[in-house]
Amino acid sequence: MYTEITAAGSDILSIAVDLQGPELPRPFHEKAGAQFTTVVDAGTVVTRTFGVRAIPNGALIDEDGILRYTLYGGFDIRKPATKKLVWGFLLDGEVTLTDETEVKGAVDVASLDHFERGLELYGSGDIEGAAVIWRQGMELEPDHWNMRKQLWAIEHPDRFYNGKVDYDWQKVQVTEGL
Amino acid sequence: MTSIGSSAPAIGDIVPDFTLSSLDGVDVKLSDYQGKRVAVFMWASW
Repeated sequence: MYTEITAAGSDILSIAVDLQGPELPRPFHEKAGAQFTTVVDAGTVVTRTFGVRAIPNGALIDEDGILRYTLYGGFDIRKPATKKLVWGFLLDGEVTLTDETEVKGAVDVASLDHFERGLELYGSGDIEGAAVIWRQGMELEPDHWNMRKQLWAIEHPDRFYNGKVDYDWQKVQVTEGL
Repeated sequence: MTSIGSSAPAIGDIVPDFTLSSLDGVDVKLSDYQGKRVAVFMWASW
């Protein structure tokens, strides 16, 4: 499939949003046997550039660098309508929206300051300081998932880096408003 | 309170360029893809 995409003059860019660097996303990229490039955003490039506070996201950008489609939050290439849209764009340059194709654009990210200040503190080794700032940010914007998960990752590393990500635990945290 | 809503591109806008490092440590720019259609997927391991 990737050969067809590049033959059509198109490409795929995968961005792993991970504060902790390339070692965590690497196995996912390798397991998928991905031929396209994966880059790592350990900061706020994705949040700033696209105006997103949750993932997974998809964006289609044309030959001139113009944004043609976005789905920010809940993007899933396995969904038939999404898959058809993405392949149609990459192979034929067509953006064909149907009733089943969601479109979601950027929203204001009110807690971007908190996210960035926390990242600076985290980068300088002040983990507790980062956690304090991020907790304040969460009060401001509870659905800033990129920040929420970074906070969880430092407060509960055993749920993230102990061989597998504990999604059941995450669901409980959300249900209980943590 | 900071808002970036006005600077984030809407459909039909040019996406601002950015640079990120690949898994192999190579700098990759969005503008490297100029002249191609590109699907950008954003995800996380967590």
